[in-house]
Amino acid sequence: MISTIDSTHLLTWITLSPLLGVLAILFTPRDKADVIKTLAAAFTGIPLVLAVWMYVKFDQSLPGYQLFDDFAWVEAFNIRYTVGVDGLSSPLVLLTSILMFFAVFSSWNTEKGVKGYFMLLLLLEVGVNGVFVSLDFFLFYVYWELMLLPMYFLIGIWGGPRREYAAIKFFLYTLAGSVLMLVAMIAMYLHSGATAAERTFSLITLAQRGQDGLFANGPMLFGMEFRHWLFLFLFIGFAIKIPVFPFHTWLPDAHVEAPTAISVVLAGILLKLGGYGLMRMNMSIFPDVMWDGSGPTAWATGIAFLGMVNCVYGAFVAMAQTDMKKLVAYSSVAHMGFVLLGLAAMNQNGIAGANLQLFNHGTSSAMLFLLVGVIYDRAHHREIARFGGLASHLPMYASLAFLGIFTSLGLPGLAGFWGEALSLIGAYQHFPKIVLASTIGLIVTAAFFLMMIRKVFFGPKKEIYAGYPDLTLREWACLTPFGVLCILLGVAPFLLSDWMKPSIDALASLFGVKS
Amino acid sequence: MNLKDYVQDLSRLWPEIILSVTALLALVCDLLMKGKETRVTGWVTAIGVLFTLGWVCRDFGDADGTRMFGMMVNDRFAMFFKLLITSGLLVVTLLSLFFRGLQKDGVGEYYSILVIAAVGACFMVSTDNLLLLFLALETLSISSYALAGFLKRDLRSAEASMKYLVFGALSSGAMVYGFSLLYGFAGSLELPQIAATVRTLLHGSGHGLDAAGIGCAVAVVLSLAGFGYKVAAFPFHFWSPDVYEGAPTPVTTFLAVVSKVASFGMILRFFGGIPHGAEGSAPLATVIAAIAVCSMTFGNLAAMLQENTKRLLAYSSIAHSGYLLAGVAALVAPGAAGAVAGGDAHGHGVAAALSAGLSGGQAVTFYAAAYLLMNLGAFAVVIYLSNRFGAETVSGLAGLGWKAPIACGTLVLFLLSLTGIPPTVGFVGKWYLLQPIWSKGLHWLAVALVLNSIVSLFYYFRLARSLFLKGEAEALASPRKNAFGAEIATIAVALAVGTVWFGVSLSWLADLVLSIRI
Repeated sequence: MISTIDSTHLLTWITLSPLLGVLAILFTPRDKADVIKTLAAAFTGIPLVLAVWMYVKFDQSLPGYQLFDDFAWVEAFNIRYTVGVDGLSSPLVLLTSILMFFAVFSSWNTEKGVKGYFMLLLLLEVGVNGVFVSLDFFLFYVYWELMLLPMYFLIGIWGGPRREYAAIKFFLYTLAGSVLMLVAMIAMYLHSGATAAERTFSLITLAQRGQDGLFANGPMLFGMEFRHWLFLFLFIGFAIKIPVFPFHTWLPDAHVEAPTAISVVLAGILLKLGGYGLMRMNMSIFPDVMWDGSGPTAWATGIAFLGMVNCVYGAFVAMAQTDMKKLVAYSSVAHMGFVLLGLAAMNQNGIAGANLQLFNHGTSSAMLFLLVGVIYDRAHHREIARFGGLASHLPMYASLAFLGIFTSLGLPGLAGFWGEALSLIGAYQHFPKIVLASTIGLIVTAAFFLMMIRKVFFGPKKEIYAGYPDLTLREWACLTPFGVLCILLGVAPFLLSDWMKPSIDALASLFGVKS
Repeated sequence: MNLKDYVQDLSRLWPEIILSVTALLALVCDLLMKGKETRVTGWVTAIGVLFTLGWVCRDFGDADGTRMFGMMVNDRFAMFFKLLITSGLLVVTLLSLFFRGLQKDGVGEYYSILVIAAVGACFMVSTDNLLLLFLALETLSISSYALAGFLKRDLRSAEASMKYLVFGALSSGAMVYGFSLLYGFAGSLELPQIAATVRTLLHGSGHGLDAAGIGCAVAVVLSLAGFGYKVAAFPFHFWSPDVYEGAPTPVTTFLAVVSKVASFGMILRFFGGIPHGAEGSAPLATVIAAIAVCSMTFGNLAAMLQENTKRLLAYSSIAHSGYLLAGVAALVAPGAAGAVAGGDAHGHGVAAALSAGLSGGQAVTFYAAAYLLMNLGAFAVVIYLSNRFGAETVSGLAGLGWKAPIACGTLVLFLLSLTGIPPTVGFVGKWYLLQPIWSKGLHWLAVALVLNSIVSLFYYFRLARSLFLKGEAEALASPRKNAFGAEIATIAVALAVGTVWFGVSLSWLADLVLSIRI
């Protein structure tokens, strides 16, 4: 099954090299803050360079997984260390590596507990990249949980005034999702073979057997089919991460309290894990739960409906916010709704839209959180109503902010447009009414972003903001790459979509749709 | 039994013999020191225990399931639990050496009682005879009563000892009554025969229990009361928070870790014979599962309200008894994927055990090891914090993480492990437990177990929050001198390394546990 092992162990290096950074920082004295920061930059730089190399090395013409690394971990239970990427996961690995590298730079001003901060940040990168490359459920789960602790402390120690509450809320919500995933994992493992020798955690094999109908003949449990339970448990686990209404309430708290760099990571990458998990687990292993051979099942319709709720509800709640960061946080909820809609569509357009949205929201939301961080560093507050006329005081800042905001609201020609458009087009095939309702969210999103622009950047000039310096060199360096990506992927979306296409087609083909 | 066999059987008892000699040496040593210089006695004990540990490791491979004196079994299961007991005892001895409360003169006999308790524990896990089982249990219990009250001038310690004794006497009485009934039903004191009888009478195959079945159920429930008391399972847990809080912390560690692990060894011996192929006892499984769910839920909910760290860990250990009992329920439940029945200890080996999957007994065995490692670590850090900062409450820990990052960092790791989050041994333990529970069809129990770990996260991370999320400036206490900080921190780091190592390098331990037949 795994024919070619990548002899350079590239993915393993990408995943685990930050761990070397953790060790290096561990043995650096506490007072050498600059050395620690440099080490952190170096050890997030290594995965970035390697991820670019992965992009070059990745054969974009092939569906399925590439760049395998594989060895037995626990033979007694058939647990293997298997990593590999396809067109769905490799863009997200690149995204993670980019965001983490710039997260280090955007937290260069950290003064409190520098050593712990950067160790945890590096550990977080191990967890996130690990999830994206894992092809063994057990390994996937270990990496999935590895993210929790760093995130808890990063929010809890370095966050805002209500950080303790936000940190434990994040931790509890995510753990709740992942323990249900644990139950599903064990059930799937035990069900995957009659004897221990046949049982497996391999996501490739599980997907294969799942598509062949292995889980369709499970027992009825409490009046619901076995595979539906598994699907539900996995879905809740990922839905909390995305986050899907009504599991989203941890997100605004976590975002608002987290320091800028952590908000960037949270919105830019951690939310993507949920969408990725849905594709990798729910859709690949249980295609028959969402698709009954001729059309979407009630489960798929339910997911599309939740996507619509996310779009509309997230947008309306965002509109009601007075705090810029909270507004951006709720806009993420709205944007993730399009991912759900696209995935529920189960056709090429929809899945492509969802994947483009995952990547592009990663860059645009990262940019927006960085921008909020920039103004917060100067003004020490984020109240939209208290700003005004920033465009004339900080012209450079304002222009980059416009770019980020317009990308986020989906202006054609910028990156954000493609994901939303394709998701809606894809979903329209099966759920026209739900798509129509979702467009309300689209309009409201544009409305609240434009209102924010009007209040913050135009309107009467306020003299207290007159003396503020425009972007510093470090801020430029952090923001520009994202700005470039927003424009580049807006005019040339094929850079991403060609890369993803074979894998998207393979996933869409499970649902018997030809478009 | 002739003399030759007797001597040969005796030669398999070296660990217990060395331990007993250590206990005597500790007494003599204390006499020679005229009750002064307690630490010398402590070190003598530590060396003796270390020697025993070495002997257990040496003999581990020789355990072939032979019976000794017609009352004990020398198998891998017993050896594994002796390994846990002696290594736990070693850590407790070292912690006692460094614990401030036991630095006074005149506590030399402490070490000897501690070791005698461990001797009882060793017998408890290797006997398959009800009579010896009861004797061993009482050896452990009576020593524990004395240990709990060791700080004689401390009112709480005395109260703890008294409470422990009264509850202990009551439940021992119930248990002995249950044992006598079991003897009546089975006509034998040997556990395999009793298990067979219980299996026949409590098969629970649809048409209720007959009169003998009801009698047998009463007997088993009475025995369960005794076991439940030893492992502090709901509703037999009432003694444990007060005793854990009042007893000197190393004794609390011993009771919560070594004594509990040994008791689970005994429980597995007792119930291990009940599953036979796909047969088992559904009613018994239901009762044990109900106790398990009540224990974990009650323990976790009550732990949320605790302010004293030792009480918090006491309730946490009630919850963990629940997790372990859930594994026992999976062991006795009827169903295909159980222990491989019959055969000797080496006959089928890992391969046969594998084809049947992990049994509930093996899962409990592993979880007991994980429990030992992570709880020893947590208590070590609790002792560290109370030694160095005098901090014994959750709010008293505020900001100490910044003052002692290494020790407190390891505590966070132990808390992660107790919650069951990878990459720690606690996660592996939970994952092992869930396998047989799910495959025996106890799905609701599996879900109850994982939901409980969410609840437990909340109070475990109250400690982490206090340590690290509060600023250094909020620290109430300043460090004391001569608090053995470095020594205890070293122990904690060693245990933390173990917690992560066994959480990542799973292969070796998985094979070891699968080679244990239960």
